[in-house]
Amino acid sequence: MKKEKYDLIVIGAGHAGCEAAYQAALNKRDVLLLTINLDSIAFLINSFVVFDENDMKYLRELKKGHALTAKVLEETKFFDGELFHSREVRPIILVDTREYFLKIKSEIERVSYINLRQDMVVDIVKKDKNWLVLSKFGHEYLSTNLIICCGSFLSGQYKMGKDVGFAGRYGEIQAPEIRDFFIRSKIKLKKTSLSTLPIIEQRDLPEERFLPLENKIKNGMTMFFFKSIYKNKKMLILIGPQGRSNSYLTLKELDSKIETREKLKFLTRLNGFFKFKIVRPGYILNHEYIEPSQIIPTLEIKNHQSLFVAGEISGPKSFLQCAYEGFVAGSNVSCETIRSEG
Amino acid sequence: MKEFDVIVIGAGHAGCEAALAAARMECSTLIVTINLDKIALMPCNPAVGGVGKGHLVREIDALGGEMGKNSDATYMQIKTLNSSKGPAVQAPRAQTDKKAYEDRMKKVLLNEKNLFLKQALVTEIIVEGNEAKGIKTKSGEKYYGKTTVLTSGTFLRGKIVIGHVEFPAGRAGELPAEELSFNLKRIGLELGRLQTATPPRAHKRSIDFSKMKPQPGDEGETSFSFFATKKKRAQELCYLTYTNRNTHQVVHKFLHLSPIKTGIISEHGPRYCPSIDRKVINFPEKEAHPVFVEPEGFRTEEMYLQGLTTALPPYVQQEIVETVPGLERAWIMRPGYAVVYDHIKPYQLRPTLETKIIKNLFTAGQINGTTGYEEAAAQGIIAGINAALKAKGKPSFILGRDEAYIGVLLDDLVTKELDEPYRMFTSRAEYRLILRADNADIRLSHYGYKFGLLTEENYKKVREKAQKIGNLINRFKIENVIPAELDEKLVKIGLKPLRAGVKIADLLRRPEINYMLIKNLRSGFKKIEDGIWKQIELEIKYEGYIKRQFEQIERYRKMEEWKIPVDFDFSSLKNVTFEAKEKMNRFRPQSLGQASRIAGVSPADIAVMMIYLKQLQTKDRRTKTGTWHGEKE
Repeated sequence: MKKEKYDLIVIGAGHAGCEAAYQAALNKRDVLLLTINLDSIAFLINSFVVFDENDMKYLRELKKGHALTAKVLEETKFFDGELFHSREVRPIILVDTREYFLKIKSEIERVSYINLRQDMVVDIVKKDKNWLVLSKFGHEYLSTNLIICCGSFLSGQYKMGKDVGFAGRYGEIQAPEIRDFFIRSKIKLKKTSLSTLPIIEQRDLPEERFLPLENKIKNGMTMFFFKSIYKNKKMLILIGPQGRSNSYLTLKELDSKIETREKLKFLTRLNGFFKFKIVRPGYILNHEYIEPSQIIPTLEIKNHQSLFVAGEISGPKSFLQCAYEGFVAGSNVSCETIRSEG
Repeated sequence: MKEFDVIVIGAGHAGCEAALAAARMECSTLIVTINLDKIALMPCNPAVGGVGKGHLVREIDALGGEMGKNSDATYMQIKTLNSSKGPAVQAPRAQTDKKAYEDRMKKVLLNEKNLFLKQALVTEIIVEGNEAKGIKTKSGEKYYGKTTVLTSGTFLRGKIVIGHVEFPAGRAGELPAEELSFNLKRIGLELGRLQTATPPRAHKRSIDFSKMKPQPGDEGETSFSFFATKKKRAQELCYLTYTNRNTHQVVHKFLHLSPIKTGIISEHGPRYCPSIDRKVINFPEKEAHPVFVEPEGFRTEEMYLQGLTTALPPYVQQEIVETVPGLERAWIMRPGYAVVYDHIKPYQLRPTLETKIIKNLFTAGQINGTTGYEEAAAQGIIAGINAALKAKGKPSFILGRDEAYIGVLLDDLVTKELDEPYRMFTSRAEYRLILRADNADIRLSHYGYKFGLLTEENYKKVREKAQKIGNLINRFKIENVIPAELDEKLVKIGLKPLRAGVKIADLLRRPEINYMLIKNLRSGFKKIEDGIWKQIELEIKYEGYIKRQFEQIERYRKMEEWKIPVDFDFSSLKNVTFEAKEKMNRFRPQSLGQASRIAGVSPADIAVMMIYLKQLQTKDRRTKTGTWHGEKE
């Protein structure tokens, strides 16, 4: 069997994984980037990528560091605006989800230090000072550093009405073996859940009932918002296109203080009112994450040298925060390797 | 909840055509897919067309389908295959941009006004009595439809196999449809199991193209669709390299790990698209097999390694790939894999693709045991048209073997026992000279127009073209060429000069003469497009053969017209072999023609049947009872 040695292995090609691999490659580290499905890397469930000041902060940092995420976001955004809500100004940026994926994939493929491959990890073993990653199909990969960015794939379980199943994302099979590695390494996991909102059709949408938001981008697209009160809590629903090339609209609510279940209930009621044509229903995803107190600021795990984690694997985060963590982990790995060589 | 006219399950190539046809026929149509991001996906090579398959695409286009237009809009390379061979086997073939193909098709679906798209996993066909009423999804919703078209491809109890590893999946990384498969069995359909596989993809950067032969596209204006305006576009290169003895040695060395040897795969795969393992086993004398290295898209570095299909473990795949010139340092991005899936045995279908036992349930595509995007799309459009016709209470639409490759495909499916995925070839059609790729519009667009799938404007263009061809052929049969006009040219290319005036038609009939020679002869000729010239030349050159095929069709038509009653008791036949009775009971042919094409039914059996049917018919005419196929039920 073939053994291949890399400076870094990144497991998972989501937003954190792609950015981590890209940063390490910029520093001339040999990177192996593994994904369960090459057709859904850098996957955005909806087109809203910025909706508060925190996100803007991450975006500024990423721009400063010439991150791939910031670059592609700039190229694929079709809405850039502001919204006054809860006594503050909220920045709103939307990107074309499909374009975003295609561009990231294409950029990643063109970096000569990144080796991208579709594979499934079944085991991770520390061997001397290296990490040995075993794949389901018999590959053995060896590396100095390891970044795990498998997002919500740790014991992922989705719920959509009566439909309950195991999946990292809806429609995709999960990878249970990475969880076993964490348990064996005495890394504590916690449970959490996240929700995705439905995608609706633009046809017959009563646009007059919504308020349009001003777009800073010339020839950009329009998006709408809608304010409501549910159980004495203010709800703000944003409705925006999924991309330039299709007529889907994606829903996004701004107040995340409301519990997932409540959100969906509210939406059902809203739906009864507006008669949305739902193309893709929203769903709840329960998954496990790494208890963040075990992670040091470089995103390395305490007592596990050269093992990094980034993105939603350490708790629910916004898209840009995931990318930012990938950026941090990827950059730190490069420093680590340089230091150990020096 | 409101009832739809047509529900389509699955948004692959069959599903898209079925849904578009139904929606364009003014039926409110619902299309459900397991994943909205995977519409019209080409999980294998993003190539459309080829010999036999290209014919199907042209026919789909003539009927008003989308596949041809979609391929034209998204190809990276297009060429006419077999352009040096006879007219019957020439066909267009395109390498498309995989992602662009998906995106455009999705856009077309979204812009169709009677079509509604939904993401859901279907677990059940709702059947009441023996009629399909709608579908139930995994999340518990129900949707009702007058007719339902099932196009679930390889997702029925799909299982992926790579080396010794197997896991349930419809396509790599995606959930299979488990419950639906059991549901279909429960409602009484017989399922079989088939297998198909795909080769590994390699990174462009890691390939040394200098060791391969570039394969450019056509320089002319080749296209699939008859109706789009033709535009020349920049094309990408494909490359050709070959396997060698080393490759075959590596395959042999690891053959014991191949799923076809270990027994993990016992199902039949497509014979004409064999894996490298199969090729090495079956053709030990061959020292080299071609490997085409083809791009998967303008914006991706993934390259498809056509000819290296295998489900051996990925580290073996790596070793195999490395033996091929130019691929020594290849980086495999996705491993090749095999997928095993349930399919519906197609003898249970009518030529309209409606199942015989469940009314209003149609099935189309890979689920019926075929392979290939084109075969799937062809069934899709037929199932879509028929589902729409049925929902509106109109008589059904069946294409004959003498009308189209699609007719051949459907007739083969309902009369032949399938033990491997069915793929279209020109050799499957007996009237090849008539069913050409270049005249599909003239053959079929009247149907497309009748059903409202083609615009009047497009249909008029076809009529005008047909008329123009007819007029010119008649003119050429009268008009003479005099030696002075042509002799100089003839001598130049080494042919004998004419001795006297010759009719243009007689000149074109000569095998060594092609239309290029006379294209510029008269001032009026210049206006005639190349496509029309080609057809005129073919029609004249092969006039004798074409006439003979038409005569044959007439002879056989009589057999097709001998209808067999729906409730005919085949086992009551005397003087018919036991095998023939058994087979006919299973396939339940609707005409004598269909019966004659079932393997195991001999001409003698047909003769007996004929006498029997004659008696029945005279009796029937007297009593006016019994239902006949083809009549309104």
